[in-house]
Parts: sequence; C-alpha cells; structure tokens
Amino acid sequence: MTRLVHSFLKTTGGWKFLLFIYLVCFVNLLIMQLLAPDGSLASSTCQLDCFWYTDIIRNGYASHPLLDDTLRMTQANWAFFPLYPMLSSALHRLMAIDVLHAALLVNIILWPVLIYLMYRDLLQRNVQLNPILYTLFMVLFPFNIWYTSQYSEGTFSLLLVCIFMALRQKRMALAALFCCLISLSRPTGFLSVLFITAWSFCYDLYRNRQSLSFTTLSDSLQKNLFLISAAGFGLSLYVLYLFHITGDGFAFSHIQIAWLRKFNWLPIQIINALPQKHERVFVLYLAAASFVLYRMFKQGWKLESCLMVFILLIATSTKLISVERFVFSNPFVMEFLAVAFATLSVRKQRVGLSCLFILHLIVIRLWFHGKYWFV
Amino acid sequence: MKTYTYLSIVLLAFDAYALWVGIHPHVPESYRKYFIEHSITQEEFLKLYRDRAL
Repeated sequence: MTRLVHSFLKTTGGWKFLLFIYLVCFVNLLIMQLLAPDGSLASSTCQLDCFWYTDIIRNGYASHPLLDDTLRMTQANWAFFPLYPMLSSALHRLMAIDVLHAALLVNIILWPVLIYLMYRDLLQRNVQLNPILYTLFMVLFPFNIWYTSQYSEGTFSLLLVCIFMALRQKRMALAALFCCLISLSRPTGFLSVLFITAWSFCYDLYRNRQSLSFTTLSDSLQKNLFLISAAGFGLSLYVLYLFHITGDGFAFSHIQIAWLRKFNWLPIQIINALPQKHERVFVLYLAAASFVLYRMFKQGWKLESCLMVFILLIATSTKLISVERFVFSNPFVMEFLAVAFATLSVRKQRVGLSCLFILHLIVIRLWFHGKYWFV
Repeated sequence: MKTYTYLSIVLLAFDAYALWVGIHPHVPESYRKYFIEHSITQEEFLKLYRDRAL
C-alpha cells in the first residue's frame, strides 16, 4: 500500500502531492475535533494570543490600552501585526462565518501549503525525502500546534519560505512583495528581512572576492536595498496606522511593558527564569533549541541557523517565554528535523512516528486544556 | 535594476517619513512615562491616565 501511494506521488505532479497533504491534514483535524473538550474545534484551539487576534478581527485596533480588564491591565492589541487578522477578517466577511472559524480556516488552508512549499524548498536544496514519511512527520510534529490554532505562525512561516525560494530563483519583485507582507505579519518579519539582506550582501562580497568590482558591489547593494525598502514599506504602513489611531507609531513595541517584558541580556533572562516555577521549562527549551541550531549550522544550514539565532536573541531579549514556538515551529528547523528523521533506519522511523503521534495527541490535549507550560 | 533603484528611493523616503513619525509620538505624559520611558508604575499610570480621561 505504501509503495502504491509512493509511486502515485512520484509519477504525479505537485498538485496531487498537495492534495495528499490536505488529506492527511484533514485526518489530523478530525482527530483534533475528537479531542476537543467542548466538541468545538474552533473554540478549543483558541488559546492565549487568539484572544487578541479575534479582538482585532471583531473590533479593529484599539485607540487606548485596556484599563478595566484585570487580566490584561494596560495591554492592547497593537503588539499583534495586521496581516493574519486581515486575512481572517476577509474570510469572515466573504464566507459569512464566525470570527473564530474564519481565523482557524486561514491556518487550515495555509498549513498544508506550507508543508508543500517546505518540501519544494528541500528539493531546491537537492534534498529529496520520501513524501509520505515527510508529510506524516510534519503533521505529527508536536510543535506545529500553532499552525492549527488561531495564531499568525502560518502566514509568517509561509512568507519566510516564499522569500527564500524567490531569492533562490532570483525573482526580485516577488521576493520584495513577500518581504513587504512578512513585515506586516509579525514583529520579527522586518528584522528577518534585514538579516537576510545583510547576509546576502556579505555573501555576494565573499563569492566575488577574487574579482570584486564596483558593478558587482553596486548590483548587490541595489538588490538588497530594494528588499529592505519593500519590507520597510510594510512596517511603515503599520507604524503610520498606529500613529493615526494612538499617536504612537511604535506602540507595537512600547506596549510590551504591559506584558512585563523589558529588555535584558540573555544570561540575565536565564537567571531570572530559573527561580520561576513556570518559566524554568523555557530554559530547557532554550538549551534544546541551541543544540538543534548548532547542528543545523554544522550541517550546512548556515543562513537559516544564523537567522534563527538572530530571531531567538531578539525574541528572548524581553522574556524566555515562547522560545520553543519561535525555534521549533520555524519552517527551516522543521525541514532540518525532517531531513534528520529521514536518515534514521526504517525501524527507528516507525518507532519515531509512533512516539510523535503520542506526543502530538498529548500536546493537543494540553493545548485544549490551557496547559501552556508544555508548549 | 534601474527600476528597482528608483522604486527603492521612493520606498526608502516613505520609510524615513514613517520612522520620523514613529520617533515623535503625540501621546499624553502618563503614556510616555509608562510605556516609553518606563519611569512610572502601572498603578501610577492608571491613576494619571484615568484622571486625564475624566
């Protein structure tokens, strides 16, 4: 049976592989539906930041911080970038469905596309994996819970992979469009583009070091400046909008203090987290993330691992919380882990898939019951 | 490449304008002290902000 499906996927085009991924994701959603405590997948997956995204979809961005909500005192939805709520809002209006369902549907649509694009990305790196094993690994991977919840991980990761693929194919206009959109998707979007362009410029210099000319230098500079300006354009739109409604263009950054997030160096963050019962686990996640990123770097995923370290340092500069989300749900880390998984023996792969399946179920249950310490 | 250069100049000018707007916030004093300068506590901010609203 496995051989049959494999040969079917091998002989058919990308669309059929994409359909296969949708089918596996659909089965996964059925399992999630069965595990939903109140029978509703949309309300069970709505945890943590989902509150803010759905608030933006329902009411738009607030002009003042919350002053009467004891749980979220002085917080505001400015920290949550507009691309994902805009897409959800469009679906909500177009299909006349509930906000929670619309926000979930965006990710239900995007997650299989992301799995497919990550596979294409691996093919561009000359890595060909068994598509069935790869799909099962991605769907069962425990740190993908945010791709099937009301979170902006789906839009951000999809755009990140698209930028890498467009740059590899030298499609600058398309890459610039993705850079613009990624800046509207998450706070780390614009910074990621800055890092990628700086890397690209240095790489161009290094590659042409034997015959470095003004033309080479100027071409590389123009290309990378174009990407930065496009990414800046996306961020600028949000800055101007926030200025219009709140009087503070950088409110998305300033509001972090309401979550008790203050800048500190990473070692201080670790020292601060260790005595806290609920934050200790994030030190372990940080150690695991550091190990994986080190392995990625050693095995040739240099840009991707350095980009992740950069994002990690920014994300953990205010708190260690969510470190596992930033690293393990990153598409390149998932690709790297899928490649590592594929190198195991068939027996180990089977045992591994069974373990992943059990972990996947545990994570879903924990997420649905609001046990956030695990993820 | 020339088109990209011209487009970059226009976009960078827009970005510079947004940056200028971003670093010159028009906000109440209590907002500035709590969210930007971190020089007052949440309770102090709430009191000042509410007083201002009244």
